[in-house]
Amino acid sequence: MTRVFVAIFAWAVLFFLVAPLAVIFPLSFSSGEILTLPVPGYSLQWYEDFFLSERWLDATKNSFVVGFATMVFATLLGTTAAYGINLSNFRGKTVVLATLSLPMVVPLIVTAASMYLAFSVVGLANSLWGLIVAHTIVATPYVVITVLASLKTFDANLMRGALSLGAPPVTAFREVVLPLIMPGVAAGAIFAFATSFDELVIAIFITSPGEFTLPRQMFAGLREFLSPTITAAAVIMIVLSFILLFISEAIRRRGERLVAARADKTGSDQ
Amino acid sequence: MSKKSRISWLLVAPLLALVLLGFILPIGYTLVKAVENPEVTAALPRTVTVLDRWDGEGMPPEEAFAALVTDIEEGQRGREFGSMTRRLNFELNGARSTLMQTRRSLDELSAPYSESLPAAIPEWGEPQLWQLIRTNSNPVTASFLLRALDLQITPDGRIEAVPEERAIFIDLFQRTFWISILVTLICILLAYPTAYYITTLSNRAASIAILLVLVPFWTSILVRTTAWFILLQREGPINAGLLGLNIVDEPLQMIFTRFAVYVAMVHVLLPFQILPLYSVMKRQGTDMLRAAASLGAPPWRQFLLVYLPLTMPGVAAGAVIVFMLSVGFYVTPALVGGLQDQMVSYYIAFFTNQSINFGMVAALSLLLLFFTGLLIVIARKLVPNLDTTIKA
Amino acid sequence: MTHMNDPLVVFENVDKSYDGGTKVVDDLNLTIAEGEFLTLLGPSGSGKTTTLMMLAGFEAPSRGTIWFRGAPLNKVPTYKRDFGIVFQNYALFPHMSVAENLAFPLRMRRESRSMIEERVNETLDMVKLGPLKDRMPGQLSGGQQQRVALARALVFKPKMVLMDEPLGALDKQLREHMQLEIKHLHEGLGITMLYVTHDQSEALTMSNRIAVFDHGRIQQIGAPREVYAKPASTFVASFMGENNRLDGRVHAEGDGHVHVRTCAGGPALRAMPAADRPAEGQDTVLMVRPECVQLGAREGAENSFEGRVTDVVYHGDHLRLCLEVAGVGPLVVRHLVAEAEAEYQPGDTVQVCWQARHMHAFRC
Repeated sequence: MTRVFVAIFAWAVLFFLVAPLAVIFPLSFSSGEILTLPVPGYSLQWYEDFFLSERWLDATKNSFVVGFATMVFATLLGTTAAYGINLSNFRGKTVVLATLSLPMVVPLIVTAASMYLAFSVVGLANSLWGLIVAHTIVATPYVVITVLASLKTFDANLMRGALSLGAPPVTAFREVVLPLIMPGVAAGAIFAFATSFDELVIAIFITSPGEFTLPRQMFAGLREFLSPTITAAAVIMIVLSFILLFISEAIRRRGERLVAARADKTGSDQ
Repeated sequence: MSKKSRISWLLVAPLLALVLLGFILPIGYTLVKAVENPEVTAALPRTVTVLDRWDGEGMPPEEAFAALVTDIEEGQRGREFGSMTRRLNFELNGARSTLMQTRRSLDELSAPYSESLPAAIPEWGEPQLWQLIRTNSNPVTASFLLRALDLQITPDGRIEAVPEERAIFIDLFQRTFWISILVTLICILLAYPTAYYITTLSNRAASIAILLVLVPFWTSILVRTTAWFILLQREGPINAGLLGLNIVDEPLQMIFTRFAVYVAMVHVLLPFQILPLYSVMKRQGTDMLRAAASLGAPPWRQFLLVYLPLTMPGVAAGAVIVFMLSVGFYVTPALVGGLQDQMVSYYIAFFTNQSINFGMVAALSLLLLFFTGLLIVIARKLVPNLDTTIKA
Repeated sequence: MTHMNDPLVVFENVDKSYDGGTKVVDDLNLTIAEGEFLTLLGPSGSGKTTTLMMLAGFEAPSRGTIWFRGAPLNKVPTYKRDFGIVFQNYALFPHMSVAENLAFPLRMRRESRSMIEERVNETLDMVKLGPLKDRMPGQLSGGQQQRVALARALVFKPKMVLMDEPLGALDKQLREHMQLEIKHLHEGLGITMLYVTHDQSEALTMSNRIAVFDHGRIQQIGAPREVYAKPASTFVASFMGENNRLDGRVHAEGDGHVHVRTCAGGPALRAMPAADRPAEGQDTVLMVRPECVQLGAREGAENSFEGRVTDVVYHGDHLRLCLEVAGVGPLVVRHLVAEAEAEYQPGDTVQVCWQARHMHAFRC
């Protein structure tokens, strides 16, 4: 009895989680102007609107530019930093770790307002570069975490082995460490891209109207008047999130299989 | 320092530099503005020097009147003048218009200014404005922080509560924390049975259920808020459904209400509660419950005495994340809530982008950080291995 | 009043299948006597743990009945069965101290405070953990955790104790020590114990009886000496200790022995036929333990041969000699160092012999 109740409750919660997203799909294909169900008929007009509008296209382009730049910077900085953190118990490590994780803890609104005020002084506000810097700072901690996690499962003897076989440290890193921690690096990179692509609060403060990102453009649209084009934009963003989720899950599964295979091997060695 | 430590530092340095310069420094720069008070001294340097020698009793000397006129004359085109008027107006309603009026009347004034100025603008005949200029010649002020707690300093230096109609910030903080607490509680109540149920499913079913949690988790907060924005509208699908089923006679007002804020925030934050809880519960396995059963505990006591305490770290880990995120929430309440449902973040954005008042931005940020930090410290005390649970 | 050897638990035609097809436990009939120490021994996947899980109430039999003192147990939930269980990973409650862990089953039985206090202290003293009562499980060593788990399973004076590989996580020395301690506890308390392990030496050391499991069935059940000395099948023989295995064919029978020629084609070997005896003319598997093969010629040894040493391995207390015996095949001999009369080198020729009663002939 309790079991049945828990099952119904849980599926209801899961329904609550996905249903609102599912509702956007039919609305975005509606032939009507009013966003309600059932839709009067189906058309692609709102997608047409999206893809013919310079504002939406520019915003999409800006989002991809900022997202990719953030991904590249965050992955490079985060991976090297994680490797450094994992390498030794240097003095001040805890302080460094705490400092690096602060951007995850500080409320985003405080980060955004502070960056806006400070970036204005050095001319970084109202520019895509400023947004890239801000997003890199916010996204890098996630890269550090995922890479650190995969370094934890990495056997230090493999690096020692490569060195003993005559590989210089950088080569050993590239040939042995990097391929093995790749799942963590890739997962961090995907998450960094997603973080930047979805981020709105900082974008509200740091972008100027000519350089809106997709979420910023949607936000502006919601504030002005509710055009159904926004549902098309939302669907495009959901689909993109879905693709990113799919990639990250594939990476995670591959990583798990690697770990499992290794565990199997050590298990049978005993 | 060993060679390894040096390499570690070298590898961490670029990111550390970026975080220090791009994050710590800006936050420090902003927070200092909570107590900085440069505007009056910058715009009225002579007046401030003269008033410094004045004891604050009665009226200031003629010298001060003359200095004020000179300062306004010289500074009237600069940005400093505008900043100063805003700054003084923040302390005393009406100060800005008095000063603007003074600037417009400069040509009509002649020495002795201690007579012509009050004659043209009566406010200068009262000590209040002069006292205000004198107090704010101090490079440090507590008035922003006090105001963020609905307190103010009177021109004669006492701290008192602001008039009721302007007292909004205590209420704002209370509302922010109340909404956050309630959202956190709802998330816990919804997440606990759900996460538990997922652990009882077969691998295949569990991965589908987790996917249903991950999809919203990966979808942008804005998109999810947009979904609720559309759903909850007067003409939206929910009202259409309710009307169609004859449950209500006229559309319910759901958008721009506190209800909408709760629903959308819970929707956005629920995955953050389910996921850590699920991972803790999954690691739990069945052994502990079996042990409890073998020792004679009936199901409800197995749950209460063993399962619940052992899964508490998952509840705490999720709750801390949910609470921390909701305290800083901006987009969701801004879109689906009414003015009475806005949280601290809304006012930080308001003071940054609309009523340009960086002192208040800083003061509100500082208090928000302080309360969030306090919460983390308390949570750490209550749940000893919180950090490791969150990371897992 | 119950007596030792009265049946306490009876498994009657019990099957267990998780997928409806493969039977993890296959038509199990087993009686556990009051007061005995019964070990379920077998490789992983042989059904021994599942048998314990069914008795504990964590798994329900797919078919058949488990009886406890004459009453069916199938519908009784675990928490009403009153069995003390020691889990493989101990399953100590990490959020309770040692004393609280022990008090838990007594609290469930609504014992008085003073009673709980007394029993907890008494039991902790019994496993020599008195001073650690306020520690948390995480602060204990593996061996100490094991003792706490044992104490917790005993503290409420259960009707019997079930142990699922309880010593698996300990190192060799500690494991051997705990084996003795559990054995002494059993003797002292007179409580019925069901013990699951895959370690044959553990089973031999502790049990009154051993049930050897394979493929969900009991292959042999009996006292340790019996199971070791008179294995019922090649599986039991090879699972319990080391064996030399030779393939051959029965060509005659006489004086209670079978006469077997190996494939190598040498003289006939004399062996004891196993319960499932091979008939004349049939193929057979011969097994003789390395410690039963003696060096030198002995009187009364029915089998006596000459062999060439191919390898000598020193083990401290004994030597392992690998021999090639002409007409018989390769043979391993375990020879006590204390009894060694000569240095052995590869290439040496030695005399070996063994008694017919030490060699078992199984039907293939």
